[in-house]
Amino acid sequence: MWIDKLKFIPRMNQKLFPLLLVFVAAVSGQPKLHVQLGSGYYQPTLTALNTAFGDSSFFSTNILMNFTATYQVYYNTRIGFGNWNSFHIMKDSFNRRLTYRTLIVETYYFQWKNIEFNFLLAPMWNTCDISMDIENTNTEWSDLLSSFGNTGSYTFKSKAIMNSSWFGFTSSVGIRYYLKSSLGLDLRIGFTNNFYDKAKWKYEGESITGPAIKLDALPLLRIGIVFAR
Amino acid sequence: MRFLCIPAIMVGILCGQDEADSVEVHPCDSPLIQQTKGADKRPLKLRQMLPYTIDVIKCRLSKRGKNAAKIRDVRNKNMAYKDAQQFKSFSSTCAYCATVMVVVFYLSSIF
Repeated sequence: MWIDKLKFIPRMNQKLFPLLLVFVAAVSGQPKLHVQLGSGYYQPTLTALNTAFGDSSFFSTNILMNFTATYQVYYNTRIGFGNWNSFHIMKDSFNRRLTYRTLIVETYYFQWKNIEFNFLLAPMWNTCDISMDIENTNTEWSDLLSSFGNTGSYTFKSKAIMNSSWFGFTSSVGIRYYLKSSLGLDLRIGFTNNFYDKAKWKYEGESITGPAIKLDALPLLRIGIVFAR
Repeated sequence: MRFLCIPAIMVGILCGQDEADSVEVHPCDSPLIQQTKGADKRPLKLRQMLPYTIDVIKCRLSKRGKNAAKIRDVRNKNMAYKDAQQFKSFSSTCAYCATVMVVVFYLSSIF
């Protein structure tokens, strides 16, 4: 009988159940989800890229927009995911987006009731996309549309992207001030280390050489507002 | 004119009703909120969701709700402080590691 096959469950429970109980107690004893929105300052050397674009600004080069979500899994430990973005948007021209994705392991302790010191270690998987929306004419489309009785000139739109991905690493120490138990302000100082290689770019699936930007060791300052639930 | 007078009279009658019979319940004591609390918690029906949400918001904005939130806030802060006042187990190792890495990075960039 199929039910006989389930006889192992009570036997397994004798060992597994206490373990599960301990794990669930540790996890559900302090269930806290922390979502952080913020901004960061860093100093990458994007000269080669900005020169090619013929445009640069403080915001596009030095500012990061942060989103981080962590979950408290142990008394002093949170794990989670972070996404930091740097945008360079030029009207009717190229768009550049640097995305730093982090897998966060963060430990912390409370020095005082409202003040927490935190320490972050995180491997990163980063990408840079350079894209452009292209508007062009196509005779085949025009012929097809005119065969239906449409007159006038029609354009078609497409997007061309070149991108690259690389590993990185980040670490930071920070201080968090809790205005309420569910709301805090966060300030961190740290660095990121990136293993960027200009030879590892792709354009529409083909390997190409990308810009010689320097991202290897960057000091990083981040501030943010934290919502805890 | 007739169409204006009839609703005006109706509204007047309704507003003039004596409300002595109705018992005012504080939003925090709403039966729907009580239903979701306590030992015999019962799930809400779909049509009860909206009145429940309205009651929860009203309760949270009332003086009693604000006091309860303040007490909860203090309790949560105390609990978090008590639990994470000191490093436990491996968490101190991670903290040391992160601190050393950041300090070494900044020292190496200075010297």
